[in-house]
Amino acid sequence: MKKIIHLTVFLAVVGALSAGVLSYVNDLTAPIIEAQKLAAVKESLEVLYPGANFSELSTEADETGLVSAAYKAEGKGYIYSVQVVGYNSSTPIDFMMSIDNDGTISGYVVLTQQETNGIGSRVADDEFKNTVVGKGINDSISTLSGATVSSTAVVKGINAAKALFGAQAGVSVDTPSDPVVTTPVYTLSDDYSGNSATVVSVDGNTYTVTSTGFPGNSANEYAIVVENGAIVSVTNTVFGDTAGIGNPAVSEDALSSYVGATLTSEVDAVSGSTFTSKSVFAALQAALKNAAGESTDADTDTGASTDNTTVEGDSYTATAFGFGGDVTVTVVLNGSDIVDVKVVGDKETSGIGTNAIDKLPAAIVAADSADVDVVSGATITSTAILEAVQEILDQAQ
Amino acid sequence: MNRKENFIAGFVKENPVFGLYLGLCSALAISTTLDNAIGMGLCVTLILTASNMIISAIRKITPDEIRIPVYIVVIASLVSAVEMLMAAFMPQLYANLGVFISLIVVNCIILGRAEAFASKNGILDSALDGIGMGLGYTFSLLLISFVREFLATASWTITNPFNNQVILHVGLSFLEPFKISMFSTSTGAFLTFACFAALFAVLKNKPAKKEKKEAK
Amino acid sequence: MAELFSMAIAAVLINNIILTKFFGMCPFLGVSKKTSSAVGMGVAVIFVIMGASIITYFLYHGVLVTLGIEYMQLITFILVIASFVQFTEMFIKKFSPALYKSLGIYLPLITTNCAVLYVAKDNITQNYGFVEMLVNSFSVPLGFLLVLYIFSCMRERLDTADTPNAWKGNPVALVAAALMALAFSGFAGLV
Repeated sequence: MKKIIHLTVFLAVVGALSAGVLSYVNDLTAPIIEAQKLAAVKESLEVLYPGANFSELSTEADETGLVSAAYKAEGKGYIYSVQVVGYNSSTPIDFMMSIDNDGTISGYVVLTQQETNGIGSRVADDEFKNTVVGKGINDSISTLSGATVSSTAVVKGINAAKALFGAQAGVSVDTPSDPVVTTPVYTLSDDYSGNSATVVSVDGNTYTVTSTGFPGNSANEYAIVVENGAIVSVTNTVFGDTAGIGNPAVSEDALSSYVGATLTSEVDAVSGSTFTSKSVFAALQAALKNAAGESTDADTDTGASTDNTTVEGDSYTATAFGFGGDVTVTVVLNGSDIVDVKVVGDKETSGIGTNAIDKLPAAIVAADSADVDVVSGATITSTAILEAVQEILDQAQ
Repeated sequence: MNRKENFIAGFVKENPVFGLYLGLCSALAISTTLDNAIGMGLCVTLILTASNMIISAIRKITPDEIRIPVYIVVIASLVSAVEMLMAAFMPQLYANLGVFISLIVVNCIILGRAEAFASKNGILDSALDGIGMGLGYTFSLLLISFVREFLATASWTITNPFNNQVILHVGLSFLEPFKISMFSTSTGAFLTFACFAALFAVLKNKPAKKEKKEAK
Repeated sequence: MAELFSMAIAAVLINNIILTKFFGMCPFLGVSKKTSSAVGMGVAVIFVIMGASIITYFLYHGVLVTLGIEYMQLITFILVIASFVQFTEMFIKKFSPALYKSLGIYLPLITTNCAVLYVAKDNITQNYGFVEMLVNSFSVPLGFLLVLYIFSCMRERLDTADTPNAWKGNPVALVAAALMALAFSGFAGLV
């Protein structure tokens, strides 16, 4: 027992001694380390308040955890370094802002951001900066439409800095409400040509329409029922936009809000999924216009290639794109039987594509349909020929 | 073995890095440049000497059962203190060496010497042992980084850790197009180290063979 | 979820603790001569790192930060690791002698494995939340196990190979490690 006490006491003494030494060294070095940290950021602080004396402040009063550092520029104002996560969750938007002693936001500098170029990255542009700089601490700051996620994050960060400023400068700051989202007003008569809406098929008063949302994504497809020039129902049948981002815009709730809309109705976009919402609007517009008998920009024909086929008596001619250029196929029909097939395709590769041109016609006549095997090694040319034949057969029926 | 032999043993025969394979983590990781090697080497030497002295000083009152925890506390305190001092006075070097400073705590050389030497010998001997072993370690780091820095950048640079002014810069610019940046990566570290390890294996065995021959 | 997954992939393959950071070199060279001992060591390291990281995480955020004595971090961590290893050893010895036989001999070696201290410190410096900390403390030693296992397979072959005298043993193994590091650098663009 005595032994154990001895051991414990010895270890405790060693521990206490080392803790003492360390706390002494810590007291000695902490201010120097602090000063060095300040020197490292001084350059960026100088941008906001040139030539001021800076000292670092605690950010403990910041409840949001967004403000990573706070500095006081003697006699001028305060600088806050803020990190917020916008659209890009792996790289936060890192910005610095300065608030003068009188409570005016005097500077806003984005240090790093990796938001979507041209969209979220706009929070670093002058357009947004100008809406921030010059505002008082009790003014609300609007977000950017079309870059809602990124700018909402930044505005939240600015609000956190404002609140911290209030605590540190002893000024009372109104608790800012959540970022004001300036919802742009859309009407169904707007120009949505960027979404390239296309009516794919019409069945009674149900219109199947495709339209693209976010640039570069594949098209979304909607089934839209129109009655008396107004929307009766909208359903999203194919979703080609960014998963997790565009989805809210095609949720049942969102889509049902468009019921009853006419070509002149105002419609609300779902914030955060503006692009997909616009694709919905484009589709609605196309369906309504189609229902009203107006032709939209889009090609509303169902048989997309009729113009392609020419008829001369029993002889039908169609073209399809082969490997090197157009392949022209002429089919002579007797009733529904294929009597003769001629293929002209002088742009096809000699010895490869020409193989198909030589062999396929006989095969097609023998099979009496376009359902024959492609010539191996000349797949592209074969497919083109068979497509053209099929088109003719469809047309002749 | 007299003191002088003891002191020199740390360089070749008992070279902690190449001979005994101790403290490899830091030896490989920070040997990219001479600057880092010097900084790390001197850090380890300082801590090793100090810990050897302290442990030797308290060796008679340290109960045997808890000697390892006591050593660890002593070493960890020294490392923490050095870490804070470096952050304050040599910020650039501190930033370069980063987490490796605090990992000196688990550098086998230090605990190993405390256990094997300092706990049995007097303060002066322990201090000499610490300096010798520390310099042996520094010497190894210098060798590796000397080769690696040159192969990777075609030049050598030494800076003053206190104010970041370049003291020495030797660059062979005509070799610039032939530099192999791979040597600044981990592959280069392993490769350089392997070559030195083989070289030291030869050096270590040579005297032994001679003695054998003489004995015959 | 996807983030945690890519974090794990990065820890296992891209920033592999041995091949890019060189932590845990001693066991890497010491116990890689046989595949079975390499796997035993790897598993023991996963266990110790998970345990020690969880304890140090709570100790740091619960005690050290509250008391404002962050500078005691190193001492606290190394003592926690040393005693955790000791306790684990005693515990396994008592309750599962079979497990002790296969893992036990590696446990004392782990105290001086810098990987343990590194992960514990890394969890703090990277400001990880609890879940991220768990993922990190599992995937880093998993990368250790993976590389240690592959390396031991190569060493078993190297043992029987005809190597020059000076290169026998560790030097030639280090060359193999260099090639392995080169191969792993190919993972760099993965995440």
